[in-house]
Amino acid sequence: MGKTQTFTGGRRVVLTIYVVVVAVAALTGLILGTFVEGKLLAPKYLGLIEFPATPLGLAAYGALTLATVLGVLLGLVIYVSDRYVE
Amino acid sequence: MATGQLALTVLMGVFLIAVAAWLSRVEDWRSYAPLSGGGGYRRDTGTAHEEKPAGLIRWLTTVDHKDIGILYGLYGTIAFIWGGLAVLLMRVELASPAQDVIELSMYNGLLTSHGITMLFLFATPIIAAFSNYFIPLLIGADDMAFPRINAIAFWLLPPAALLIWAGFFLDPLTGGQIQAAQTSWTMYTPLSAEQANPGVDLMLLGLHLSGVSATMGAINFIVTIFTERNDKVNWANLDIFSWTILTQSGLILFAFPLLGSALIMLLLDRNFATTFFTVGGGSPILWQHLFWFFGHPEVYILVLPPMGMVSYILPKFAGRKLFGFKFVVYSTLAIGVLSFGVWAHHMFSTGIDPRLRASFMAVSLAIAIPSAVKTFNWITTLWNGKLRMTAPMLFCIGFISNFIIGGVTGVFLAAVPVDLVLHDTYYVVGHFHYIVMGVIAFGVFAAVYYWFPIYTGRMYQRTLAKWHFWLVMVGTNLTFFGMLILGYLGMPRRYATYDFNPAITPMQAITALHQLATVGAFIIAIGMAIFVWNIVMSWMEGPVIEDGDPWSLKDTNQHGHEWHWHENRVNRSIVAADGGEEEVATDGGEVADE
Repeated sequence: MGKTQTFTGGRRVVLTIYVVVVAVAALTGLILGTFVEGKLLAPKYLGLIEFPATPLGLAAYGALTLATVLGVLLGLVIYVSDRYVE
Repeated sequence: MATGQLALTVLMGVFLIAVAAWLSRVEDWRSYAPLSGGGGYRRDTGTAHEEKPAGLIRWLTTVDHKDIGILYGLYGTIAFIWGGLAVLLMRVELASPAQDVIELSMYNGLLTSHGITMLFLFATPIIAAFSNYFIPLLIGADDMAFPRINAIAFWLLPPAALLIWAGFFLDPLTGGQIQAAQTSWTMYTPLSAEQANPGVDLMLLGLHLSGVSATMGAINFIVTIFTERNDKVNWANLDIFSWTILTQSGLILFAFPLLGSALIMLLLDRNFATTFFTVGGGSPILWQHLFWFFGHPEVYILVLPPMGMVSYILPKFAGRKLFGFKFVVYSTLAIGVLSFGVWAHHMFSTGIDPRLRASFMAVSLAIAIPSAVKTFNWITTLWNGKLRMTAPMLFCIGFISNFIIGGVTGVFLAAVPVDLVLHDTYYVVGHFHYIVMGVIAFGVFAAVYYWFPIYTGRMYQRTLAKWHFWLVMVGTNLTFFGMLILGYLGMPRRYATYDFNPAITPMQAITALHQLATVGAFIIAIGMAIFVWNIVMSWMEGPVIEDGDPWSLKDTNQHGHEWHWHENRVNRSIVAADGGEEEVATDGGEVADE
């Protein structure tokens, strides 16, 4: 074809998706916290650590929760990829 | 009056006979009908598609699976434009709280038309466009098992669309006697049973016709995949796209006839005073049970094939095989089975038995598992891959990220307490549009670009394709993320106007989020205009593909059956041509010597 091809590392793309989706969760928390401030109960991360019911508190709570859930799945991806070549 | 009607009937009869006589004279149909020898099983029938007639007659009489695939594609695109324009009008109306652009009845008509058009006239046919064109090529078959049924299934669709849209055309002609149906796409009774407007009957008949079409197509795919496979294609090496179409066809076979029956019952309620779904005598809840027993599998009827497309296309540009192929197939089958056990999660707020709600909540949460298995395998395929960021690959990656957002928001809705709060708000609209637009349409776009060289023989403009991706990606997230927040703030769905008590919900925020969604919708529209322009212009004037492997798939040993077919066709045409064509500008990455 007379062309060479450029490649992007798969890991970089996956990590970018991870960061973007976690950022969406943070943004959701921030916006909701702004609109309904003063009407929310303080959320608890994993039912243990309490976050303040402020925009930043909700953003941190949302980001951390989704980062944990998706992080576990990402950890599994890394674990499986290293051990099983298909 | 009666004489006039009689004359009109006679005139129409004469007209139809004239058309039939003309069609029978213009062409010797048997000369290119592949089943002139009869029978549905694969054999050398002497099929000679080269003998296709020219011009319009070819497209009106074709039974070639590739031609029918293109017809489905054209049809789906027209429907997408209709549905898109409908929603643009609605979004303009919603950009400010009061009624100021269109009448409320028009809004309700557009709302109904948008939903039904996008689900039944765009999404289902556009998937059929790819399955018709590529399934026979992928499994090494000469054609579909029943080519004529294939053609009939397609030709039921244009009248279906005309009936569904009829109210819009007939409204001005009948002085408002027949209006566009205003039932919403769910056609919930008693509203849909009690609206006197005959436009509803026309819409129901059109919808029924589209269901008959889908069922005929599904039977054809099941038989084709079971009986027409090449000797070298067995169940173990059947490609993932064919697996998803087989599963989808099974779902259609069980779901669509039920919708058809329910539609007939609704028509009987409307016109012959039966009381299946009425408040007195029947039950509006019965309609919801029947409708959603069809309606939830319909979601998977629409999403499984795009999942198959992404599972098929993504490895090609990741430079490695799909990780865990078998598990992706198993998850497809698991979703197919589970999809029939989740319908009542659409009905949590109707007051159905709490034990019933709990069991449907459990199955709804369970269906997240095979969906997550697929996502897991896509990401694992990407993780150690060397990615080529072509337009199809960009759409595959956009598909995955949108699917994560759409999936996570869906898990919350599966929980009864959360659903009771968010039901019938824009949160639900945002969630399912992440799936319908952000996932299903993205899978379709990936497939359009990936297979473009095969069905056009040319290459698209890659810069425009990337503009298309980024505009649609940004627009989708802007619009539907805005809707998720709107839902959290309590904005009910389906309303043309809105007014909130500022002490409870900030009105300014609601308006701003609606405006954000409207801006997003227009960004999507600009992206789609670029897409249509690119496809049309590249189809007519794009650089001709003379390479049997324009995506360099042989480098990673992923040159599939359809590309073998394409390569054979290219080689034949090169022998016949005089050569010296310009170099093909593929979308395989950056040009080294630019």
